[in-house]
Amino acid sequence: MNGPLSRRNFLRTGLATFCATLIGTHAEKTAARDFEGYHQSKGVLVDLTRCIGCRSCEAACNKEQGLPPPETGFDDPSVFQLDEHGQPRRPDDRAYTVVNRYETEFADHPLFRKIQCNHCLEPACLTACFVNAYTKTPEGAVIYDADVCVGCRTCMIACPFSIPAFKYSSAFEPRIMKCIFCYDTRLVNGLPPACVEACPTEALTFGERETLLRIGRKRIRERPNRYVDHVYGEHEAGGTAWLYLSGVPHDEVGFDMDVPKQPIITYVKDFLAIVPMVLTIWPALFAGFHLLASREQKTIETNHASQEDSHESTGQ
Amino acid sequence: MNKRHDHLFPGMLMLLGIVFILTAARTGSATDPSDYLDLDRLGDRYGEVAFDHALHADYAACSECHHHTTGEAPSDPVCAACHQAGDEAESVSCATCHPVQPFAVELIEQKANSTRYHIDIVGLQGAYHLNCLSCHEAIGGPTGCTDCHQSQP
Ligand code: HEC
Ligand code: HEC
Ligand code: HEC
Ligand code: HEC
Ligand code: HEC
Repeated sequence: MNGPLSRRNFLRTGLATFCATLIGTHAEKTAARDFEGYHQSKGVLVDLTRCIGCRSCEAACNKEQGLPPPETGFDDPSVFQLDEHGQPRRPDDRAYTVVNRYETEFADHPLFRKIQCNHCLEPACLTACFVNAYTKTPEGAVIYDADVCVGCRTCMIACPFSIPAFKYSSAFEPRIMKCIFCYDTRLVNGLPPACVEACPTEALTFGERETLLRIGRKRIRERPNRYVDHVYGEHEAGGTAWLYLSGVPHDEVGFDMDVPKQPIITYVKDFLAIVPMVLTIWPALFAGFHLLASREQKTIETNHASQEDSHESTGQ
Repeated sequence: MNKRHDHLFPGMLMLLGIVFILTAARTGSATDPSDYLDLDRLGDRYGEVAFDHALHADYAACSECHHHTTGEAPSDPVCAACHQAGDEAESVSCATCHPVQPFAVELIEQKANSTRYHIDIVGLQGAYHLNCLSCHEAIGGPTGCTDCHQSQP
């Protein structure tokens, strides 16, 4: 009765195997979606409730990365003013990180937010790059090889946080520029990035991403009145190495809450899955359309002919 | 006239004496380490901080800065939930528990495998600024980056 080889079961198993083979690629995609990043990969927990907007991190980054001196000093608060388009500052080829100021109705004092590359667990820039200029290192950094870059700027479009910037100064040597987590000078040697070390209030905590999540949840649990119950970056864009705690809803301080929760790579893969389909199914499909259309044409013609016949007969 | 001057002289002497004693007492207390501390354990971007411990002990309970480690009950209600009573620590110096290098490789590994409750102890730089700045902002003390320490070249 409940024998494993009953005809029904047999058919069912067979069908399941068949389906599994068919959707095998899909199963792999799901596995990729569950990728939690490298074990012991590092990250930074940014606690916006501790940030006082002193821009020590900007100054430290500028020095560490050998970037050009800023237009005005790092103690000039006028940079917090919005530009002529009403936009706050963005990281660019002269500053890999910027701190912006936000006035919200949720707090009686201004709030600050640091922006830089979030070092996604599954970076969209990496997936989008045609020449494999990007690498996600086991330590957690998303780095790039500027010598390989051809300047197509696909990564700029692919990035959900609009981080990669271009150095336009030389038309023949386009060069992508973004925060690299101080990978070559610090992270490989087990040191925290320069911005973290410089932060006077430890608004930036460096550590293993798993530990940082535990710390983040502990802070929220202990002081529910101080924090909103969300760690931005735990799931956003499939998870990022940089995580953010905030005292006001994250979108009040410039975070994009519409960033998909799945890694961008999933969409790219779904798109790529269509490509072979286009090649195999479309010829047959269009051949079919063509046949149908021409048959219809014939039918119309024959109908026409027979109608004319009948006309002739009625006209008689 | 002369009689008047005779009365004034001892009075002035007494006044001078009082001023002298007062000055001596002030210098004495200022050099006593537990009243006046030079905080200079961290890097070289800024100079040392002249911290008037006695002045601050007037303004705030010991537990505002030392948690429960001086024997007072903690003033932070979050901490009081588990540390109801004060519990004097062997050393109350912030650096005993708040490391100068909080992100050293060993500490990060320790934290990752730790079963301790406190996996979130800030470094010394963070401990000072979180503690000092939050109170100064709330009740009015210096908050500018060069108010407490001078920039070093
Ligand atoms: C405004 C913050 C603050 C308050 C209030 C405060 N302290 Fe301190 N105390 C400090 C700091 C900062 C140090 C320096 C610690 C170090 O060297 O790491 C210190 C150092 C000390 C030391 C070691 C002193 C030394 O000579 O090295 C003792 C003992 C001490 N405090 C006791 C107390 C007691 C008792 C009270 C309450 C009457 C108190 N403190 C109130 C901040 C404070
Ligand atoms: C949920 C309970 C709990 C809360 C809340 C708590 N602690 Fe603790 N604390 C502990 C435990 C348990 C230990 C023993 C060591 C450990 O597990 O970390 C401890 C140990 C300590 C120690 C001595 C550890 C050392 O490094 O020598 C200090 C100091 C301390 N806590 C301070 C605080 C402060 C400050 C707060 C508030 C911000 C706080 N605690 C909140 C449970 C708690
Ligand atoms: C005996 C160990 C010990 C000593 C000494 C000590 N601390 Fe702490 N401190 C802790 C622990 C433990 C915590 C709790 C960390 C947590 O939230 O889990 C803490 C937390 C803090 C916090 C963060 C509280 C918050 O808002 O989250 C600050 C700021 C701080 N300490 C400042 C100081 C200062 C300043 C001194 C010296 C005057 C000092 N601590 C001395 C152990 C110590
Ligand atoms: C509980 C509140 C509180 C905390 C915590 C606190 N302060 Fe103050 N501090 C004050 C107040 C109030 C004044 C203003 C005193 C005045 O002007 O009479 C002040 C003044 C000062 C001054 C200028 C006066 C002077 O002594 O020359 C310095 C420097 C200073 N604080 C350093 C610190 C440092 C360093 C810390 C952290 C270790 C700290 N304070 C923590 C309340 C606090
Ligand atoms: C209330 C006083 C106070 C204020 C205001 C203050 N600090 Fe500090 N700062 C300290 C103390 C105390 C230390 C510890 C000094 C030591 O032990 O060497 C320190 C140390 C530092 C250090 C590490 C030491 C070094 O020389 O590299 C940095 C960096 C620093 N502060 C940055 C800042 C910045 C940036 C600001 C402005 C946002 C600021 N501080 C404002 C009290 C203050």
